[in-house]
Amino acid sequence: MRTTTRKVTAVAFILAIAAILVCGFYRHFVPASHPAIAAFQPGRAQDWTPYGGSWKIFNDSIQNDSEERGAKLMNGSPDWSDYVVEADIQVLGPYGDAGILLRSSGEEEGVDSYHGYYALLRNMNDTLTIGRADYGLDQFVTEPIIPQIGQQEWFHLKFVAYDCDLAAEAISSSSNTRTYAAAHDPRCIHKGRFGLRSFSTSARWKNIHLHAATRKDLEEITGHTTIENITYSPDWVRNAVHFPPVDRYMAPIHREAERLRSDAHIESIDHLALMNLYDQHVVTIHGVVTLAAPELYIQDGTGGIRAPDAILTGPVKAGDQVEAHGTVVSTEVHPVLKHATIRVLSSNVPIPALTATAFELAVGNHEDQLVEVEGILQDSFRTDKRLTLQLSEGSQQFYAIADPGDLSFSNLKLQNGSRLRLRGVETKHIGYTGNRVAFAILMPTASSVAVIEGPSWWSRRHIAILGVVIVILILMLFTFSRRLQNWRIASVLDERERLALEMHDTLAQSFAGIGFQLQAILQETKGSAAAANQVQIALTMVRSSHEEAKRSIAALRPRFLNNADLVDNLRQAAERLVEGEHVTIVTHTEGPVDQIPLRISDALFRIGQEAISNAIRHSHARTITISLSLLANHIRLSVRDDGIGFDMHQNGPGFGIRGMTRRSDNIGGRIQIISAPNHGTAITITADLAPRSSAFERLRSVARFIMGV
Amino acid sequence: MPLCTLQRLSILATVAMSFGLGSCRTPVPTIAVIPPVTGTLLWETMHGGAATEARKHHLHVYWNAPTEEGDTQKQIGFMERALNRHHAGIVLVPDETFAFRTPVQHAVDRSVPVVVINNELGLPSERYLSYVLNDEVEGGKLAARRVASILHGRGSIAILGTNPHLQSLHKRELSLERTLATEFPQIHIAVRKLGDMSIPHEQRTAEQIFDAAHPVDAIIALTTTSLRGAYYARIETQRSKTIPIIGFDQERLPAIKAGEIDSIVIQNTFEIGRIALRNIAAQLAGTSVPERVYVEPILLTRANFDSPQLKHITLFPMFPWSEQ
Repeated sequence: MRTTTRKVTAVAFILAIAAILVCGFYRHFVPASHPAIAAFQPGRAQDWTPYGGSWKIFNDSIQNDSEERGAKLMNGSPDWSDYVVEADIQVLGPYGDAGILLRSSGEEEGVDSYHGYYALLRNMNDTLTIGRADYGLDQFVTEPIIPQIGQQEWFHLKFVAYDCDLAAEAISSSSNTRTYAAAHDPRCIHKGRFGLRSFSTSARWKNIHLHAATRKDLEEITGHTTIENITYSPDWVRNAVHFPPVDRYMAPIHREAERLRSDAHIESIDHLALMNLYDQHVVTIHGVVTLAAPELYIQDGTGGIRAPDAILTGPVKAGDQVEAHGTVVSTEVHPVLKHATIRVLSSNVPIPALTATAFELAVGNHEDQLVEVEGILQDSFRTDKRLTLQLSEGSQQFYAIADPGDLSFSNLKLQNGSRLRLRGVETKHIGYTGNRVAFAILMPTASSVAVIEGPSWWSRRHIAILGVVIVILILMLFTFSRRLQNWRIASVLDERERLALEMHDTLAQSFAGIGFQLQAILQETKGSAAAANQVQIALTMVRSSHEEAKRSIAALRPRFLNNADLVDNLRQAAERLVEGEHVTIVTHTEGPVDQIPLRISDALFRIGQEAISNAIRHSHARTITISLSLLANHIRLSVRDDGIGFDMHQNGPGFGIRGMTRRSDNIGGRIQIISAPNHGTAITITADLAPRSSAFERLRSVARFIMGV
Repeated sequence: MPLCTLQRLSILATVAMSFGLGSCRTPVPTIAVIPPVTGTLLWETMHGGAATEARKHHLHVYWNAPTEEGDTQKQIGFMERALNRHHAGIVLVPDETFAFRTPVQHAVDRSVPVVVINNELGLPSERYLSYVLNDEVEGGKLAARRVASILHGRGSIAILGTNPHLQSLHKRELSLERTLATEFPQIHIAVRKLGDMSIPHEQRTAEQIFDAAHPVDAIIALTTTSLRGAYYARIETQRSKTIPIIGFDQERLPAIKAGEIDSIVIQNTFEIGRIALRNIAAQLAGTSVPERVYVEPILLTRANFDSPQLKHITLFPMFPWSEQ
């Protein structure tokens, strides 16, 4: 048996190790399949994962509004190996790059924080580049785009990864010229996800397609260019011998210089509020965009202003420094700049937010300015156009409003009861407050929300769950204690059984042996009457002791498999005691006697056994009737004999009766003895079986016990 | 004696386990290098220096930073992440002085070696904290001597981008003015303008200087923003073609080669990164390091632009980052 167990354990261990090795082998060497490429849908927001940036999906195109470095939007399977991604790309800013990632893994927020390949269009030097990032960008091949990447021009970019070869093709939408780049990476990354990426510019992607790559896809590009064989040398600088020609850099620099030039007279925003309320003034302001959607807000060092109906000459986003030329209208409490023509001067201009309490914002004059405030999230509701968070802080309630189309907001998981810190533009405009709260915060991106503290654990739900758990634990404890009690009783019974067997095997056998020897001596001493008499006395004593031993053994053996055997065991005990005598044992049962608890049935057995023993010894009965009934939780055991009976008034309770009475009291029962001379004796024990208590009642009894009631 | 089944299974188990255990390796210590932002020539050069030194000491570099300059909160987050990941050391270029004192102290309290670059946080150097700094004093001297060379020792200049609240910038300007005052007293500072983060604002400021009735003979821009503003103003203002511009820190380097900016005092961030990693390696080995190391900047002009000795600073490093 032990050997078999050891073998089984060893086999299980071997199988576990084999399973681990097989899994590792499969993941490492079995070629990746493409089960999900065909299922790719660019418009399905939940499949995309942003890492930085401000990404939106609309009309089957994807746009990043942020000009931060290295914003990524990832999709696909980490098991994809050879595949092609194509997309139309528009670089919106004047000085950055945008493109496609392939075979990417290990992404984090950061500029080049991923392991994968990158094909990009860079308008700061008008080039197509293929590179590889491993938390640092290694540019493999750079090819000039002739004549240039025009301002917000669309390019079709195709990027192929096949074996360890990478190839990219860029087609200009205006001139239809094609640029090719290809590289072979001997230390290639074999598989990973795909994504979109931009650097220092906002950008748009549309018509994104992907399919499994074949050698033909690769050759369609490499047929037009040389494959650059990448070498990894021990020197840290590879290939670059000198600075590339600067003329490609100068045109974009000069374009930016011209773009930033301004000749207008610039007004400060706080001065606009001092202008004549009745006249309409045409002004030019410089400021930083603090919010681009749903409306444009601009802030300078003196204040902020809303610019509805703005006329945009290009895409505008938060952080852009702009020149706004429009009409100041003072019909509202705060002036607005209407029909402003917006020209972007530069981007990524930091503007500090004013930190204030909700009360200070409610009473203060910070409207249309970038602020930071904390509050407890009470509720949130979403429509097609707006995600609204309702918050409270102290005596104030306010809203925080975001664009639900922004992917980073859709991935935001906020719990009611959390303490949030919000950054955004404060407004008291009725369109946002609904006149229900003092102010609203218009948030530009999901990074405008920070969770300071999660909701308190002590919520109603958690308290209710805790209460249920405590109740269940108490019930389990209760049940366990009952089982423990039963186990204790069973142990005691086991020990008695063992003693009985020991006594049977030793004491009883010895008595029987002594009896036989005495019998033999008696046979030998027929001639001596005195000796025969003494032997006879000894024999009688031995027989009596043997009978006592047998009774004691029987008393120690209440071993019945279940309570249904109680009557049967009483009958067996009776038959052992009357062995050789002509006494009939009759038994009756009524009701579900198998449901009598062990503790009670043990006591009943002892009482019944004593009653039967008394009947056999003293009553000279012919018939002993044993009856057991369980009706409506009422137990009744009776032992009746048709013997000589006794006068109850003259005979006080002996030791046996006192014992029976004590046992009866222990189980909360009552014992009744009815006897009369020549009318036999009836011993009846009755007890009420405790009703099966419901869980609630058991709990109530435990609670009362704890409280001492 | 033939083996019983259990003995055979035990041998098989031992062989299988040995394959698994054989692939276990002692992990390579990782050093987190956290600049204010990545993807710029200034800091990617430091990356190259750090990676080169890390290879010598068999250290792995984790390189990352916020995607927007000035995002102090995120930069602190990167530092905390490095501590949570139990990186062996941290090289930090804080973009703000006061907010980083507590995070750096936390790291030092946990016996994690920290090297702080280009910012004297105010925390004293100690066993696990050292500084590697761009020598602003030397940088100021270089700019002063260059402008004196261009102006032949006499003339007027404008200084743009001053900021009395930034210690490193203040050192730079102080050294510049002291050198001019002591070595070239006939060069006087006609205009001083406070710096701004807005390029258009800096451009307008420079245009006003160029358009003034008595324009200066040269402009020194102390920051990259003021350099760009001055340079763009020079492009747009026809009168400004003869006014040389001297700048600081790697920015618009092609303009030097094109002759549109006279010179730039560039930081040797490659060497800064290399020394920082060397310090970390020494501290991990239990060796003490200097409290402060000052790295001299370099005056980049059209004459030395293509010098092979400078290509590791003027070119984006093309390093096999997969090996870092």
